[in-house]
Amino acid sequence: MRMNWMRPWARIAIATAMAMAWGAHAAETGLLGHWEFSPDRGQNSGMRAVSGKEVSFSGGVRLVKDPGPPRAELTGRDERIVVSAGLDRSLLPTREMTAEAWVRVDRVTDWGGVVGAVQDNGEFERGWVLGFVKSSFAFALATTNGGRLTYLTSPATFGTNEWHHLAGTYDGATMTLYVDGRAVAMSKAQSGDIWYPPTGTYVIGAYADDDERYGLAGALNEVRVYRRAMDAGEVAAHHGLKKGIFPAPAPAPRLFRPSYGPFVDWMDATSAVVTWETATPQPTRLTLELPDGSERQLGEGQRQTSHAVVLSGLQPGMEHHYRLVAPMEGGRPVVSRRYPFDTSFYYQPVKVPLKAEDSDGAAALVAKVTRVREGYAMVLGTPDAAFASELARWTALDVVVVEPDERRATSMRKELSEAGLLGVRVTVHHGKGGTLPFGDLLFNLVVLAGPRPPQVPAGEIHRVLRASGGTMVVHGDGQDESAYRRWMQGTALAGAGPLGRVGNRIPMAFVRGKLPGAGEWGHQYGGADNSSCSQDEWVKGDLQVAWWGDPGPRPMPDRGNRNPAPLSVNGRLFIQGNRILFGLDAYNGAILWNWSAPEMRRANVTRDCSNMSASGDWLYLAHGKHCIGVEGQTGARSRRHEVPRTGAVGPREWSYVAAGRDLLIGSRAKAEGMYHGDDGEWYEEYAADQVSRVTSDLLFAMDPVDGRVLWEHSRGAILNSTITLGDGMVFFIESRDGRAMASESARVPNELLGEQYLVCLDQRTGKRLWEKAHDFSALQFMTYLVHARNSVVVTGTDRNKNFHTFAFNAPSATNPSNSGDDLGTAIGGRLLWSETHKEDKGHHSGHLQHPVVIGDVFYSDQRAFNLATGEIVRKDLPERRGCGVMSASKDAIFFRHHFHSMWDLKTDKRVQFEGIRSGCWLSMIPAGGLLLAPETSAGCSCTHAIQTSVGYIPKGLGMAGK
Amino acid sequence: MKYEARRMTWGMAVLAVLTFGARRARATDWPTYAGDYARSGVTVDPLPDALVETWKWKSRHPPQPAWQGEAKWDGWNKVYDMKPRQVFDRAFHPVVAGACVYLGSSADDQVRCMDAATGRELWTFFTEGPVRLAPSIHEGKAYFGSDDGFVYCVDARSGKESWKARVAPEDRRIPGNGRMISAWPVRTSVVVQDGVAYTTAGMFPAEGVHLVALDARTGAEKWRRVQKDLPAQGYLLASRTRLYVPAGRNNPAVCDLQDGRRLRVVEGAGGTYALLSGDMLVFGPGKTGQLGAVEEGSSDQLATFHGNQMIVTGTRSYLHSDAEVTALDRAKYLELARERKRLSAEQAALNKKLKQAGKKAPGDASMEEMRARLSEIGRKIDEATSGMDRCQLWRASSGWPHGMVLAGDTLVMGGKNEVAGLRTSDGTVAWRVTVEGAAYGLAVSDGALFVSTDKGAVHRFGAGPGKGR
Repeated sequence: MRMNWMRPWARIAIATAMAMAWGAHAAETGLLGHWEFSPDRGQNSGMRAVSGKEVSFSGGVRLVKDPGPPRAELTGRDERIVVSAGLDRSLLPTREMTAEAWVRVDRVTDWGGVVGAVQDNGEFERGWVLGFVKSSFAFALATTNGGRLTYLTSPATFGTNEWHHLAGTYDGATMTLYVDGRAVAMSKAQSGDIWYPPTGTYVIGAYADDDERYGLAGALNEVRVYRRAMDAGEVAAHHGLKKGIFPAPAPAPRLFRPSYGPFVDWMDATSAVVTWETATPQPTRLTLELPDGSERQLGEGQRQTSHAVVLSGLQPGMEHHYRLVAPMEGGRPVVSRRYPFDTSFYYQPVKVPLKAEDSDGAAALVAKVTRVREGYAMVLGTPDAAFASELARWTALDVVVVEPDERRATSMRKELSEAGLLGVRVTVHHGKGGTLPFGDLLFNLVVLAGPRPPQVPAGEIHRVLRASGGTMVVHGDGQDESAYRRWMQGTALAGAGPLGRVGNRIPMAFVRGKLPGAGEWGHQYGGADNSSCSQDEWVKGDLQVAWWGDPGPRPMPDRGNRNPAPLSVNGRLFIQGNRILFGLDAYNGAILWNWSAPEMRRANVTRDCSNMSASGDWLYLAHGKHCIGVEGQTGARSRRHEVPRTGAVGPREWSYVAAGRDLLIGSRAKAEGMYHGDDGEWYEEYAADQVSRVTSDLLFAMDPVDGRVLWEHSRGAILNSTITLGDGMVFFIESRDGRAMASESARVPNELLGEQYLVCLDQRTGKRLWEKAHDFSALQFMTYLVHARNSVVVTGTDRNKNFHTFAFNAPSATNPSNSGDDLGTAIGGRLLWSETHKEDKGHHSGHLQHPVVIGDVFYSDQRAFNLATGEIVRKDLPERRGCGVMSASKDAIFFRHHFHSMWDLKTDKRVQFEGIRSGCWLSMIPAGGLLLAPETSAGCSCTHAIQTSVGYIPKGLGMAGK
Repeated sequence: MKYEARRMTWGMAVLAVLTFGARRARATDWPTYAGDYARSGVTVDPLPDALVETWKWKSRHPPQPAWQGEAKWDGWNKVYDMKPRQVFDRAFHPVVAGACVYLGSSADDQVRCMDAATGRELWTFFTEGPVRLAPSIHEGKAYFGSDDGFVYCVDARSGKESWKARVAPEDRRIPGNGRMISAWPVRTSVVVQDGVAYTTAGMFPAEGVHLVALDARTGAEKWRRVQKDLPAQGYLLASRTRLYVPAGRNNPAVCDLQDGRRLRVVEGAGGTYALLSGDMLVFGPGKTGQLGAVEEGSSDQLATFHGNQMIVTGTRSYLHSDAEVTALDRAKYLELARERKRLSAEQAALNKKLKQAGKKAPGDASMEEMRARLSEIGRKIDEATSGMDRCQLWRASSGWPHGMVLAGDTLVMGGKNEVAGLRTSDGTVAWRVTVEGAAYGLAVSDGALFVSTDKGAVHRFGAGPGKGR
């Protein structure tokens, strides 16, 4: 009985009859399971079925009734509605089947499941699933005769936020997919029994097998599964019966975008302040969602441009969410994205209230004078626990007291325990003799409080004192200054001198300087020359762990998104997590500060550039249309510059940033062109949505203090991945293809990036020094540019993964006599050499390797070239995994193999630091004498034993320098 | 029926005590984490039918776990809600022996001894780093390790130090997990058996992770093995002949108890939760909340279970996931699992053979036979799988995902702000008590339940008025 042969009235009659039967589902022939999602059916962590087995919920499934229709709301993040975790066969169809659902998809994903019991793991394909593939609805099924899964997909794409009726049927010989009551795809590729995998999950609201889990972002009103195949008429009737209850697609709320921010700054472990700005005075508010699903409306709602809301009473260790809400426009709500904020990411030491006597106590004064407030302090010679307690109360320092007398050590511990300071803020180490057990270069502050020098030699104190500002102070009652002088004599500490006034005294102090020969990593690829080399002279040889700890994997973005590299200058380490920024002490890993910025995100830097750069005491962050100057020690957002608007039509964002001491080089891009990696993309395939280049329409120089624009350049679409600074010049490749320049998006497909020029500007003036038209069209996967030793090298791979490298001369602008050319003919852009080879690595992303330049050697892929001639000097680079990229100090290269790995160029020794892996881009940086490796393996399903941020230090480094 | 269940539980618990070391001085002691070195979480000691809180102690600061948790998701594989694989120090796990409760503290670096009846502090012992794992009480001594790289043995009654031994290869202290600690912290507890104290020190395999045996009486070193591939984190387990060393996010190593020689590293998805059932190691929870069971002599997994923790008795297994508890017919389940494993091995071998045959002689008639056999094997695997599903005796919803132990015929379940007792007969709730925080630490001794939480609270629950012992 096929309904499509019937007259309309007959259809109505049958539909009516079915409607009458709607409440008697259990009686329906072959109905195995029927779930109507409604709060009325909810029970503890799950829901009762209309027919069949109850389901259990995991994640934050929300049952909602009003406004209708009744439904389960799913965010697509972690929700699953499990019918059977063990694929209970009694619940599943075996020979024929129908899976039917009313569903609303709010976000399109690569794979989406509405209901299914499937394994689709490479060659192993079993079971069935009703869902979608990108924007097409789909029904897939595998049978004993058909073997692998056959996917039926709807020819037409669906819209998000719309309700649809889906049905997939299989009658033992034919599969059919129905969308909104109509058959849209059919196949006879499968026959026989449905072939289930041995293990798996029968699940609603997710595409889940052993390899993939795509949650449904949307809603479900109803799901039914039958052990028989409905015919077309029955499917149409089911659609017709219920379609009236679903609303027409509502216009999505208008997205509210603050003109600056939002930012979330900690007040303490359970409170924070959210700040944002609007371009015009507006009464915006904030809706806070607590982990239990309850909401709070916060904010004054006054018309203003600067907005601040205090979030208090937050639940510790939990993820919260908030939205910014602006006044209605044209009857439509205007709300921001739903921003996450996680109180797990509060890392500050336990706070201890100040006491009245602390205001003029010796420890407080020492802290004031030395200005050392974060990190680790060591106190020697203190008579009791009072000094250490006060230091802990006054600062955020973790204090270690070294006490040679065991009884006194125990007594101090008792005292500190009663004060609530032991462990969480102060440790007492019972130690005597000539050495300290502490690692090199790690204390921010050492206080010598005894009347006479400690037993420990002065050289030991110097060894443990942090470089770039670690401070030793001699301050205590009745001190014998001459004895201290003798103690210091002949050591680096002998240079100790007066340092401010502490009470009525001026104590001796020593401030350790920067390690001579230590390098910095202030840009994505080391220096702004993109050489991926810090020139650090220390990081090589025998390394050991200097520190480890947070941030761990939880606040970090997924490992494979090609994320911005960490930076380290002046003894600090800056780490960009997933929309959260950290400042750490590079020498001991102490977290100085962190704040959340949910609009801060850059991914696929392979085709773009990083959004941060550091110099001296400042970190510069490109954020929306601004570049923010962040104070390295405190995290304060103290400077803010807006991207120039010259010639711009439409919204623009600050794109590239390179910070120098007195110059900021920036670029401007059309808004919304950056990659964000929010769907876990790895960007290693040749597809337009992975390899399209992010381009800038303006390059400029700015005074970093006052924001004065010093020069501008605008001639084409500049490939962000090629912007390079070196030797007083700025280099880049720009496309002058009219299609690229006219593109509405900053993200431009390769095909539109014709007419490419290699351009060189004077960094001070912006004056064009030279340019060279060149055919770089072979560089399809990516385009890199590196400057070193009077040359620039452009490299990339074509879609067949062949590397193409072109080296051009780039005579020095600051010292032309070194350029190898006569001053009068110092014109750059002459092709020096070029080379093409098939990628050496087959492992994933091996074809995306960024080069490294050390001295006159250009390392690319698995080869080393003479930078000047292109001659291959060696091909025995260490075996490594393809997805990480190399970084280098002056004498060693660091890379991801199975674990953190190093190739010492002096000794040719290759070592792995077993247990920890790095991320899938650049995440190990040699700087300040250390190898710094923030945790970047987040999300790796592997069983690497340790996921932590870590610093490695060469053995014996503490004795170096002054 | 109730008698039957209790008899089985008692029998199995006694067997566990006899088999897995964890010498309990008294049957009612809970002298180490999870009661014994099999980490069985089982005691013959029943709890009263009604529980009342008799005392509560709260630390000045909550536990300071070393690790915060896993990433929020695996973006490539789209795995959300990944399980933390290093859950061993989220509470001050209590152990009970000789009417005293002992706690190590990751917040203030000390071990405390309290009167089990009153909660009054009897003594405290300071170390120079967080004490992340519970002490083991053995023959009147308390053994514990610290992040300072030392193992301590103190008199269990007085807290006086008997000996301390540096198990770290050198005394080098650096910032680790936010504290100034040894580069080789002790993060596996101490197992004491037949006069030998076993422990480990070390985090970073590249720097050496040390497995050390000490004379339990003097602290003198008997032997030392250095691992260069795995860290050591999580509670050690021991049988009469084997030492099982959890490896943080990775899979445990099985070592010879006599000399520490590595026998194998078992396969699985990693995690610090582990228990021994006879000669079978069950561990997890991997990235998605899955326990793997590996038999003695084998590295690969016999069976996997969706769950975070398990209790094993003679005939049953109780499995605990985020949302439910299930009781399984253990013997039947394992029998089917072995059958499925055998079939899977045959399937894999046949597939390989078929592939090779296809390359050599694509039209060979034997290939049809192999395909037919493969089909048959596939059906049998499905049958075994279905049979395993049917081994479920009962299932109950659970809002108590943090801990599980078995006391008599009651499953004690740790949840957030609540602990519940479930009847082993059918999974129904016998009682509930309120606690402060998430109840990760559970111990049962002398008819009393001790609960420790992530807020640093320790509660004692005992018989109600009129039902005192």
